[in-house]
Amino acid sequence: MQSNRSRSKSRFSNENIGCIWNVFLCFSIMFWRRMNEGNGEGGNTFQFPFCFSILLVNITFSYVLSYFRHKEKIELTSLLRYGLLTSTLFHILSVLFGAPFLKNWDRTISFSMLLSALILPSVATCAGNLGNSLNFSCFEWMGANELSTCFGAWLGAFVIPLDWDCSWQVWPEPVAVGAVVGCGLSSLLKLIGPAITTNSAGYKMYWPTKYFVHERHV
Amino acid sequence: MNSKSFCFFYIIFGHVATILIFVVGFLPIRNKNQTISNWNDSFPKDVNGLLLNPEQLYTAKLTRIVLIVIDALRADFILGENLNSMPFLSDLHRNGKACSYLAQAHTPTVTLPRIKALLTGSVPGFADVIFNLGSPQLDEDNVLSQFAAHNHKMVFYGDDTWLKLFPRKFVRSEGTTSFFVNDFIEVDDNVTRHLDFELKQTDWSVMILHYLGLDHIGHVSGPRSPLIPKKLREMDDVIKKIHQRFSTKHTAIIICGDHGMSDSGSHGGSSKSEVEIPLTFVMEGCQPDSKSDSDFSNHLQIDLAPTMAVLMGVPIPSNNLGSLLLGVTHDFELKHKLYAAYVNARNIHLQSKTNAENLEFQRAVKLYQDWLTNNASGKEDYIVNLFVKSAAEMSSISIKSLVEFDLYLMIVGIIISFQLLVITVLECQIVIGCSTARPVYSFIIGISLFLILGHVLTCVSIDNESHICISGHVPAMHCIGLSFCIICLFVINFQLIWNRSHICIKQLGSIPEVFLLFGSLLHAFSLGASSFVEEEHQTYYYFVNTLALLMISKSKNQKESVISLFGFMGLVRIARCWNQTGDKWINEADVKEWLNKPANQPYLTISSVIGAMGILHWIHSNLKLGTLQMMSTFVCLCANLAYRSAFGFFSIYYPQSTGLVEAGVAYLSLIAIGVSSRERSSTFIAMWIVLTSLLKRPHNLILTWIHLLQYSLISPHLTKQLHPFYTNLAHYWIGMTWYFQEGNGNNLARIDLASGYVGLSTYNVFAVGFLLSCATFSGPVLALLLDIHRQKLHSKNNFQMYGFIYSRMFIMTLFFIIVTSLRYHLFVWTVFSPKLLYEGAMSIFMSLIIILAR
Repeated sequence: MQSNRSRSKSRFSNENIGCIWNVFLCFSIMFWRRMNEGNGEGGNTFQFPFCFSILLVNITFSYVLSYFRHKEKIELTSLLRYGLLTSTLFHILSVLFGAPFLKNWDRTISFSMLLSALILPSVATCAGNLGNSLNFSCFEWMGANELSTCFGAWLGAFVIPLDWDCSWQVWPEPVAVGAVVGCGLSSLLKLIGPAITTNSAGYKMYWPTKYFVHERHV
Repeated sequence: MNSKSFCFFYIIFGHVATILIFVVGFLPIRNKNQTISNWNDSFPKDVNGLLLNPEQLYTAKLTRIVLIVIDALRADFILGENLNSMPFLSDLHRNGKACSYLAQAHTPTVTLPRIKALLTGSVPGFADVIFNLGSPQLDEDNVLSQFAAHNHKMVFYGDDTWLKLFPRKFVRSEGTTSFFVNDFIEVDDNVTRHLDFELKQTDWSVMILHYLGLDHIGHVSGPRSPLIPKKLREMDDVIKKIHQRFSTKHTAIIICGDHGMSDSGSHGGSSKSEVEIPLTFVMEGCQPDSKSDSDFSNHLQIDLAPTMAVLMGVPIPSNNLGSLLLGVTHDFELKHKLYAAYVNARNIHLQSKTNAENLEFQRAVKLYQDWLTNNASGKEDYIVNLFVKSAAEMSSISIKSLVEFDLYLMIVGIIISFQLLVITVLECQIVIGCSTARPVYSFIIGISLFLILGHVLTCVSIDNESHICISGHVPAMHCIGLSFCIICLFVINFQLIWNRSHICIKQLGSIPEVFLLFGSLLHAFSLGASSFVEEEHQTYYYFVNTLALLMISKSKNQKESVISLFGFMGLVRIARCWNQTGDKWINEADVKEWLNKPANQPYLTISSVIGAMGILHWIHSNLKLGTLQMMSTFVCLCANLAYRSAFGFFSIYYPQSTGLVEAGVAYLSLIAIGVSSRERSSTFIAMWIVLTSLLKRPHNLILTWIHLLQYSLISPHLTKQLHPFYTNLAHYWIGMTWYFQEGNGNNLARIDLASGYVGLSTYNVFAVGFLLSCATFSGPVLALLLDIHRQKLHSKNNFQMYGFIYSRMFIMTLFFIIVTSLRYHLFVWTVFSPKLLYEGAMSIFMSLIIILAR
């Protein structure tokens, strides 16, 4: 009885709820994209309204989650502020990495909103308090989920220069798909990870520094 | 010289040697025959003692020829089921006044090489493309110069490529440029409007029309566009107009395409729809191919050259590999037909020694001889067919030998380069540590004996086809010398690897270091895809910015590093809009285009002055230079600006000048910087910056300053965070981003030839080559020199350049393998070979600089 309760508690920790939500969301985004492929829009699933609504949905989710499960709940204004600031940061970053600045700026904005939306649940479930996390030491609070979302987006960009001339090679389609896939996969791995490995040390095991030891050689 | 620096020099030397070995194997240089056919030499006056009279046997059948080249006329536009797309022409076909042949064009299916092939009858190899980079004029023997030598007057209207190929050959001509691809109508009207005038004239006997409209339609809206039938009907009207003016008795109208059109509307590759073109003859007494006879249905585009020569009674061009179209000679007298076929086959036969044993040709000559003595054996058609068949056979062997790769030599190059890569990795001891052992001499001797045996066996088994096997086509001393050198390289490499054979794997470094290592692997592997070669600049921009981002995350002092590294990323982002390069986004707007608009000349002036001032300030504050050197730098930059003013780039008043004096002053002050040198690496950097900013285009002057600023922002972090090897690697990446930001790319057309002639009044191949490489590789070399300077500042004794050498070596080795495995790829001549040449040139030039500046 005792052990059952503790197990159930660990199974439904905030992190795991966030992961389940992420997996669900990413699957539904991919499903939505797949359904919309046929109607001739030329692959532009990630339009401004779509990404904006995903951001709103995730903000609502984080708020509801913290309202019911956190000891000190996150205020809605701080969530909104967080969404705005991370969107701006990702916008700047994607422009720096070569996204169009003047020509298709609406696509860049919708991509940066999508990315900040994807990152929001895991940050909100882990961090608890978003107020302090906005200094520029961005990698400090970035866990496996956030990193793999960014890495997926990074990998997705490699498809763009290929000369296949497909409709889905247009910015930000492959990058956004990469981010969604990266987010969904890492959440899924985090969920089923304890079942595969005996060591259930939470997200720490996906932390890359475990593989690359910081050691200076002579 | 200690053993460390011996090893270093050996690696550099071996690297250059492998590049040369591989390139010799990959691009066999064809000995072009520069002789021009003339009436005396190219016609045999006897066959094994039987006298012939060329003047009677080889006469002109036509007095007038009209050649209509329709750009991108694909075979199935007018042949087969679409025959009715040109109604007048199909009527002529039905009345037996025209016949069409399906012919194959050779790759690359681009207009200029195709026109050359059409007229010379030869197939230019890739090496020719390089050697012809400077001289557009066609000096090989061709049909047009034969026409000119036989007093035919020629007129030309159409694509101005022809006027560049044949300056002063035409009596009347007008060229149209094919730059405005969206122009479908005017470009052809400019050709047709001369037609009425020319049809009234009687002085010309050869008229050439080159229509570009069809190609433009293809590029813009593809081969299924409704505009294409309209365009074909317009072409049909042109043919009708010419046909009505001249009786077909002594006039032929030849319609052909220079290349086809792929299903997406472009061309350049080797797909079926791009290489298949029609050859249509509107003349009397021609006979189309009979469908059943499969032997003669595979014609080539180059067959047009000998056919035109025979029809007009001029000698066949000396390098011709095309065989006579027999259908056209259907109405010839028998002895004329036989003689023409004989001359054609003999011309091909004499071009190569490998043809000496061609049995078909020998048999045909024998039969021809019999026919001449008996004079009526009834076998004429058989003999003619035999001649043409043997000609086609011999030419296909010759053409195949043009693209024959020396696979043995290529593989040898790959193996040596791989060995050198292993030595470099062992030597720089970054991922793999090792301890040295002493050489075992019996092992070395055993290896060399084994290699010699293997070499002899390989040579025997591949029939001495390679450059390093003794055979007819390369001198024996050359073969033995080359084989000896290669075996020596092998043995030394074996020994060097053996010496370091106690290997242990080390741990990887921090995240930016791991990224540098894996990024360089990823980049090298990405070169296997043609799009990634074309868009290589994107890879570098992306990787450099990722590196900066990772370094932000790993830096100790957050605030300062965020500002400077974000500044670096921002400057990279700005600089990548300066010159668009590559293939996919080449037409996007860029700063270069904007600055070079005539209306924006004041901005160009201001930006150049700011750039020069910025460069001067950077040199002053970052390098240890003497007063005299600073003054010389100032003088040189002023002379640089004056030089540009003399060419009218700037909107300020400047007296009339050729620019030679200004460039001379700049070169002199450059020498002054070098002579009054105090500190070697600083002097080198100052000289290099000043020299390359003189050679660059004016809009790139401020870009140099931006590059230097980028470097100032990132270099303290590189020194602080990375191991020296990885710092080398990072410098190499930054150098490559500079290279692409300056507008270079992996297309031979990206070379800015003008920068090779700065301050030169006469052509000097070494000076031009040196200046051209300086201008092209200014970015990577600048990064290299900056790295040497940085290392001299920070670590006096522990000095290493292996990062650069490793990255060059790794890319070259992998690219050798890629090129070897993709040597029959569609884009091998358009994408991979230019890339190979760029990489080879860069490696050799950078090796030179490393040795000089070390």
